[in-house]
Amino acid sequence: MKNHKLVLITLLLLSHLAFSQNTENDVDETVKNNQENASQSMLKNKDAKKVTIGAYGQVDYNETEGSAKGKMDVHRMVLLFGYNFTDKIQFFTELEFEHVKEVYVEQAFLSYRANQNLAVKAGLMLVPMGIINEYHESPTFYGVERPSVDHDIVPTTWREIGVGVSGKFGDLPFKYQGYIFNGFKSDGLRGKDGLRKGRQKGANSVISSPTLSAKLDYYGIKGLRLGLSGYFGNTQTSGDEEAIGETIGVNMLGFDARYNYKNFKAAGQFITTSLSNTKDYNLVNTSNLGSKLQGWYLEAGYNVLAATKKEKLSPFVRYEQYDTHAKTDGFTANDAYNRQVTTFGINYQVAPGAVFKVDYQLKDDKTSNDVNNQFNAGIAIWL
Amino acid sequence: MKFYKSDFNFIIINKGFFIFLITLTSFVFLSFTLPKNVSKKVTKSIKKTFNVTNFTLKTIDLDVDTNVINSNNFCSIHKEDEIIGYALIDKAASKMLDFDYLVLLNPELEIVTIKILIYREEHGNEISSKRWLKQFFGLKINDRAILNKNIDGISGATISVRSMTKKIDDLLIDLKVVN
Repeated sequence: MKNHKLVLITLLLLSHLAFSQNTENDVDETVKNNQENASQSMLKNKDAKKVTIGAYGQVDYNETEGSAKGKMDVHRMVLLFGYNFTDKIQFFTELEFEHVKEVYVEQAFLSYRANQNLAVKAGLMLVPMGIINEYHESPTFYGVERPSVDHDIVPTTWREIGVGVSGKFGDLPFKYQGYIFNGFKSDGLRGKDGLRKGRQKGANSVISSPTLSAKLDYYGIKGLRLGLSGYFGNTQTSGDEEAIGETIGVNMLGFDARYNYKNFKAAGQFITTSLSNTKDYNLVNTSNLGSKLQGWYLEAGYNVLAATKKEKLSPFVRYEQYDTHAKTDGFTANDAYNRQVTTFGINYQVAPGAVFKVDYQLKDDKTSNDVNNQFNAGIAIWL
Repeated sequence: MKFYKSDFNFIIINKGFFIFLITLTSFVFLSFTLPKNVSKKVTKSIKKTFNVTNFTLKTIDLDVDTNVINSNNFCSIHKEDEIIGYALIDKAASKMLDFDYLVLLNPELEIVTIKILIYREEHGNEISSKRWLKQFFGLKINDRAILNKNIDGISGATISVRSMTKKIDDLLIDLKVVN
């Protein structure tokens, strides 16, 4: 027996030596048989199924010139949850409280990562159009409020239920996204803010014809990122699709650019949307929807503190030009919808994800009337 | 055959001894175990980077305070008896989830390659591009990796960029301590 033991010990030692490089069994044995230190158990936890929680939000103070009184608002407070089913399967959701009491689910999708270059996604997702709709967390933009172009031309936060793919082409500096989404509903579209009232947001949404969405991002030049987005399809109706003026066709194209070099940061986007069948739509629905919505903005900021510090103090300026009556079919465009906004202010990031903002907006339109300017101040967080 | 079988029975009966044995051998030989979900990719990278077909990994005893490296994620790479390099296999945070990355260093403690092993999240995967990671190659002990100084960011991947850069900078600081 004694000899047997000796042989066994030798065998075990040898096998252990031979498996310097790990096998599955080895891991199990070590985990089972060794006590874990803090980092080991943390590493193990990260591999295990786990809910991750995040949040972003903004609290704003808006003071419009003129007789209107000021407004203080918990504009949005959003809770993010991520769950790792496996290394390949994740679930994400964003639960949003707007103005304290309106509750929305902003995103809720499953993602299956087939390989490093391709993920398949399904559920309630963001439509990739321009910059802000996808990157809408409050500390990511300079101003207190999101750009107006991303309110009236791109109806941020624009999300619908659908299915799609995203990924990259190997080591090439491109990111692609392609989706089939449910579209806007046909009711409520109007001149002032175009498609905004048509968002179904995944709430008991009606589908009569799917729409297509795609975006290609290029990040091959240092500090520069370019994006080209497209969205095509008809609006949705629960009525007769063939009926006159029941639906309209939407063709939206967007180009965006972001540039970041040391203390300097700039961004811009151009969005143009052609709407078909608006003449009939307006007649049937007594609306004033334009047949072309178009807008662009450019913004730049410069961090006056050291580039390597986490604190950033950035004076910034943004100029926006947007027109929800860039073209109209069958009636005269309203010049009040051809708007310009110049925003300037200071963005003070005290830590990554914690920002104090203050800005002033000079507003104007193509009519001879005065448009009230606006002062904004607020905090923005993302954790 | 009978000879072995009786010994096998012996182990099952004396579980305590078996555990003791495994623990003992782990301490004696200090072989490094790769997390199994990245094992293949790490092996492939090491073979390619150091141009070897056979190698062994060994843990390094660290009894100093470090930021990133510890005996569970940092190891030396050996070809026969010679140290041909070092490897760090670790996780860093992206927006919501962690990603796994690998850093390979040569015997002079200079970063020769970095690879993102598993990137789980939708946003920020841009950091996987070699074009971006290349900025860290060649950094060595006594160097630093500072965003907006010697490392450029990527718009739209800010969080992952920041977290990767911090990890590499911490690693460089650790190298000084360990050395």
